[in-house]
Amino acid sequence: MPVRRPLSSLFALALAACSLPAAVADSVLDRVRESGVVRIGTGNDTPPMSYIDESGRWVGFDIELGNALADRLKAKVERVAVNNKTRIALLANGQIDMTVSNRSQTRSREEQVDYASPPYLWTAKIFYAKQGRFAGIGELAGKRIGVNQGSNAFTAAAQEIARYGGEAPQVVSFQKNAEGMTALRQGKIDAFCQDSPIIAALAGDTGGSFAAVGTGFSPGLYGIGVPPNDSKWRDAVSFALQDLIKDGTYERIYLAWFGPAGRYPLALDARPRLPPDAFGAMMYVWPD
Amino acid sequence: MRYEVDWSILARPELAALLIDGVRYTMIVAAVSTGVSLVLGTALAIARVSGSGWLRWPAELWVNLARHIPGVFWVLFFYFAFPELLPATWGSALNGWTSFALAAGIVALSVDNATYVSDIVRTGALAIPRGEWEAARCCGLSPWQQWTCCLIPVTLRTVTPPLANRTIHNFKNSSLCMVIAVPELTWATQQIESLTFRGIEATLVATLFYVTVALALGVWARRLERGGYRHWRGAGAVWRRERGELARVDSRR
Amino acid sequence: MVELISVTKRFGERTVLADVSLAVQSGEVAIVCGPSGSGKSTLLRTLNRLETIDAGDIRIDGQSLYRSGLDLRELRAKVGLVFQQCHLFSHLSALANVTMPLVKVKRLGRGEARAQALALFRQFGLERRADAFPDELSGGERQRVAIVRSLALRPKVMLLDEPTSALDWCLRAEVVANVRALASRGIAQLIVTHDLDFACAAGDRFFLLQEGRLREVDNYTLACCAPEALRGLSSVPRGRLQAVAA
Ligand SMILES: Nc1ncnc2c1ncn2[C@@H]1O[C@H](COP(=O)(O)OP(=O)(O)OP(=O)(O)O)[C@@H](O)[C@H]1O
Ligand SMILES: [Mg+2]
Repeated sequence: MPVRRPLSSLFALALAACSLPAAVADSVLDRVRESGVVRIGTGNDTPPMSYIDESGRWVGFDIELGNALADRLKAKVERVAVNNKTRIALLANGQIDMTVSNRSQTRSREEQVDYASPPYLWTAKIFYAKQGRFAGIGELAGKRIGVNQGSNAFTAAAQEIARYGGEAPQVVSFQKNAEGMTALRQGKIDAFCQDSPIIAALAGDTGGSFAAVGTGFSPGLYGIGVPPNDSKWRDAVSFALQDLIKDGTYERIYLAWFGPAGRYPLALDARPRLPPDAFGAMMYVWPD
Repeated sequence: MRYEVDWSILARPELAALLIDGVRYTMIVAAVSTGVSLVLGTALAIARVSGSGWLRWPAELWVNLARHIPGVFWVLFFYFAFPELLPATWGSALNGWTSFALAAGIVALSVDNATYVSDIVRTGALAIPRGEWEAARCCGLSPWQQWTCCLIPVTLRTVTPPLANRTIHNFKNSSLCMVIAVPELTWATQQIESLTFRGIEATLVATLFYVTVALALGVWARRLERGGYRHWRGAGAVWRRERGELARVDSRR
Repeated sequence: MVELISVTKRFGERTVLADVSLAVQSGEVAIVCGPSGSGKSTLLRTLNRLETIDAGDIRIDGQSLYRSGLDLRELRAKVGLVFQQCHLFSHLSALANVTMPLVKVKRLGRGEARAQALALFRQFGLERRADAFPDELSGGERQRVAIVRSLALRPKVMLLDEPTSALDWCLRAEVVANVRALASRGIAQLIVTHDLDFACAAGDRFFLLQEGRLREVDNYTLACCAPEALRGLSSVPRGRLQAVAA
């Protein structure tokens, strides 16, 4: 295709310039070993996963997990703020080494990047609205549903509402969760749809006048994203994560955030575990 | 790592629909806000050069304040804060209105652009020879007629180029509306990126659109500037003459 | 018709008109001469309130320009002023310069306004330049269009500021004829000019303005001695006057 070639080579050139560090070493692992620095992409406006608290520190479940991983990999953290829209591209271009940023594994994302194993938290999409306004998801037909742009709630919310029949909702994408919640409080949207732990924290912070509509749907598993086609690095990250699960670090972080006495207690246990009747609800790690 | 440009995603109907809708919203926002701001800005300019202090000082104060406020502030202000300032029933009526984001975006850009329009029109009005003002007054025209029949048409000639620039600017500013979830073109490219993780294709197409429209506006403005304003007035003599001269200059090159 | 009573006008420190009194009746043509910068244009501009005065009063038709409730639009349609620099509307053709005020102020229909304007254009030899724009007109053409623009509004008072400065002798004779025709229709006219031939041919009464003071003179004084008078000689040698009279 004569038109396509010059353009694509132009981009290749531009992108090659961006991704030079990744291109020098053949695996990210070599580079991290050599420099002692790992570049972790995290969000900064998504409590309780990753946000900046009143004193200006980065906090959240993903932040602590990322720190623990870096410790394991004997590297210092270089934090790169990403959002829902940039995190895949940055990873695919090799500008960051991993994302720990409340990212569900999906097929379309898997086509672009790889995931370390195992996924570390399960979630569901869930609608929140003014307490008592809607009795069930079916009543959201034709209503204005807010989502965060870049979240797969954009597709999932409409699909879920369609299952109940009725008019399609009007999906409104905001740039930030906080803006979506403000719009919900002001009545600019009728419900907001986001991952269960996130929306619970957002709704909790606004004083409890919001409640879930119906039950969660579109279950997903948060996974740690790594650049594609670098199995050496992916294994290193997977091993580090599994070590954290085995030595109880993961457990400690989970309880501190989501356990019954944690900062944002979750009604349902969000740790991805094997069936309790068979294995006593342990988390699965690869055998040696 | 190498980005494989894949234009086929733009052929996917649901994504193409996002872009087409985006173009529609961008055009609505840009056209309406430009129109409103031209009227508003001209009114502000008239107030600023008018003899009455009651009109002049508030207008001066407003323009000198608003000049220093970024456009995105207005967008967020009219969407989030403005309904809160109204009586509760009005506020919730606005919030409940499905097109409120679009309306808020248009009002925000109108207010933002009006400030600059008023500066341009004011400069143009002050550049009119004093004698022409006085002639208008001496003919017994009312202040309104003085503006509509003499001052604005004369001003139009000098302000066309800067106003065209401003209009192009305002057109591009329409992308600010993405922060309040108006599904305009830039929002659409972001949406496509978040759905497909391929932002460059959509962004390129959007950029091409912005550039094309801006260029077209520029060309149109240049035609007006070359004396087209006389053409509107029914007598094309000078316009034709100027066009002839320009053609001769061009052929000499 | 037009009355100035002890009018004083200052620009900052400078007194341009000092205690000027003047009365012009209907059908009368008053000529004002004076050195450049003596305030002649300013005098005309006070008469339709383009300039406000600092002391004294001005009456037109017996009514003060400074009474409350004065309708400035009506006044300005009644008092036609032709500027020294013409000040045509640069965005309108010559004809439209005349028809636009007719349509807007006199509320005539477009066709009617056009017919009236064209009649005046013919009278002033402008009919072939009707579609030209001001920057395409010669100085004399511009001056005539400006006169026509004022005349078309059928004023009761005409103020002409150096109406013949750009006209040839033939056109000047036309203007004289027009001034006399207007006078015979009862229009009061105040004409500022440096053109003594024109002044003597068109005027009924003659005034000299210098150093802010206005003084009435006869046409002989004006014709023969204006140069001296303008140079500031306060009295005119008597012998010379008589010589002229003889
Ligand atoms: N708006 C103004 N502000 C300050 N001074 C002014 C203003 N208008 C006129 N003057 C001054 O007042 C004086 C009289 O001006 P005016 O135009 O009436 O003179 P003139 O007699 O018409 O002169 P000429 O024969 O050159 O036209 C001049 O010295 C002029 O500089
Ligand atoms: Mg003068």
